[in-house]
Amino acid sequence: MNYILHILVLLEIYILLAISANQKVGFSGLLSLAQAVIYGVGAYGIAIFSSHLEIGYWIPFILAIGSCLILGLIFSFIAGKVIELYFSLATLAVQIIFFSVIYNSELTNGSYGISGIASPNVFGYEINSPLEFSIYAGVWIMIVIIFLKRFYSSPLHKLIKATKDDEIAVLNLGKNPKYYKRISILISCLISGIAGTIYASYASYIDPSSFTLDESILILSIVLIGGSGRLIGPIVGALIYILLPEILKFLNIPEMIAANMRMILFGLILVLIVRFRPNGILGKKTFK
Amino acid sequence: MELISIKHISKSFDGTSVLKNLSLTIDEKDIVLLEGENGAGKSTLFNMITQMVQIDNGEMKYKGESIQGLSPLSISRKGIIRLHQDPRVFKNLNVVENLFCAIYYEKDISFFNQIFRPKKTKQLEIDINEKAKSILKNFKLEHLAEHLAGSLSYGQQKLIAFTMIAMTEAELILLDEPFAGLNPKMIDKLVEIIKHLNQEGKTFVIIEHNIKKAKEICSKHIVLENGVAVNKNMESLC
Repeated sequence: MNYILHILVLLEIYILLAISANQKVGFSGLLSLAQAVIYGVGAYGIAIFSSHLEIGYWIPFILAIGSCLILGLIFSFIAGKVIELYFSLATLAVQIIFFSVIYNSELTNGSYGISGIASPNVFGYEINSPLEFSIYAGVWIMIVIIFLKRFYSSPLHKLIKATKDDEIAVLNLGKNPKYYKRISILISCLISGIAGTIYASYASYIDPSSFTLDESILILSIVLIGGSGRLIGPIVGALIYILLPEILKFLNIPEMIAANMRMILFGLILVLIVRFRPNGILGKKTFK
Repeated sequence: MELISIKHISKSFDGTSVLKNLSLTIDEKDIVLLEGENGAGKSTLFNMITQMVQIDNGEMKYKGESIQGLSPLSISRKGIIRLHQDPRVFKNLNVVENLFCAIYYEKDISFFNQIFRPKKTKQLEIDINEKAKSILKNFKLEHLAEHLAGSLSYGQQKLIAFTMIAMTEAELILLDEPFAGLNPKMIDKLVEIIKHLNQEGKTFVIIEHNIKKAKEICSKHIVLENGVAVNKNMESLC
C-alpha cells in the first residue's frame, strides 16, 4: 500500500512540475531548460531555511517560495532581453551554474546533500506518512488547479497568450510584453517552488542529483508528451511518465534492464509524439 | 493643430543615406499619403517615428514634445500606432479576444484585481467584450467573432488587425501598405473604416502603392525620392 502511495506522491510532484513548465512553455513560448533549478531552489530553500532558522515549517516555506520568485524575476529579466533559442541557452547556463553551486557549496552540503528536512505542520499536525503526503500534495494540486482555472479565463492570461503569438503586436497596442512574460514566469516559479518543498519534505533528504539538466529536460518532455497549452496535457504527461515503469513490472523484466527500458520507452514515445502528434497527446493545433 | 513635426532628419545605414535632411509636418485629422519607390525611405520614416530606429540628426516632435530616444512602448502609449504590412493578429485567440486585448488596459486595474477579478473587474471585462462585439458589428465583421484569427484569410486578418488598432486610443495611425493583398471589396471596406475613424478625429499616414485608391481619401500627398520629400502638402493631388 505504501508503495502505491509513494508512486502517488511522486505523480503529484511531477504533475505540479509539469503544470509549472506548461505555463512557461505552453502559454508563453519560453522554452526554459532550467525547470529543475526552480524546483531545486524550492527544495533546498525549505531544507536550508528550516534547519538554520528552526522556526517551524511555514516561515521557511514562505522564504523558499520567495527565493523561487526572486529567481523568477531573474528569469523574466533574461526573457526581456533575449528571445527564443537565446532564452533557452541562457536558461541552460543558469541550470549548469546552479548545479555547480549546489554540488560545491558548503551551504548545500555539496554532493552529500541535506538530510533530516522538516515536514509540513498543518494546524499542529505533522505530515509524515506517504498517505499524509499524498493528501497534502493533492491539496496543493487542487489549490493550483482552482487558481489556474480562474486565471486561464482572465484577461491577463489572454494577453500572455497574445504575447506568445506576437510580441510586436502587443507592443504596438501600447502594452508591455515583458510584463506578461514576467507574470507567466512568476506563476510557473511559484508552482515549481511548491513542488520542490513537497519533494524535500517527503524525501527528507535531497542532493544535487535530483536537480540536474536531465531533470529539466525530463520535465519539458512530460509537457511535450501530454500536450502543452492546456491544463490537462501536463497531467496526462506526468501520468505516462510515472505509470510507465509500473506497467513494465508486469512484463517480468529484470530490474537492471527495466530501469533502462523505462528511459528507452519514454524516449520512443517522445519520438513518436513528435512525429505523429507534434502538439502532444492532448495538445491543441496551434497557428504559427 | 500640428501633430507631428519633423525637422531636418537624416538617417544612413552603413554609409548609405536613406533619409536626407527631411522636414515635414502632419496636422491633426490629416490623411497623409506617403508615396515613393522601394528604398525611398518610407518604412524607415515609420521606423523612426515609432522609435524602432533612432535618427542620426534632426528633431522629431509629437504634439510639441520631443519623442527622440523614447522606447517603442512609450511611443505607442503616447498614441502613435503602426499597422504593419503583414497582419499582426493573435492567431491562437478568437477575433473577439483579439479585440479584447486591444482595448483591455492593465494599467487601469490593480494587479490583485487582475488576478482575483472581483465583481467590478468582471463587469469591466463584460463591458469590453460587448464593445468589441459592437465594433465588429459596426464594421460588418460580426460573423467572424468566434473564429480563431489564425484560421482567417489574409485579407480578413488584415481587417481584424486594423480594427484592433482602430479600437485603441491611438491618435496617429501609421499604415504600411494597408491595401496590399486585399481584394477590391475589402479595400473599399477598409477605405470606409479609415474615413469613419478620420471623422472621429484620428490622423493617418499611409504608405501605399495603390495610389489611385489612396488618393480617394488622402488630404495630403508627400512623395519621397531618395530620402528627400520632393513635394509637400500638394492638396491638389488628392
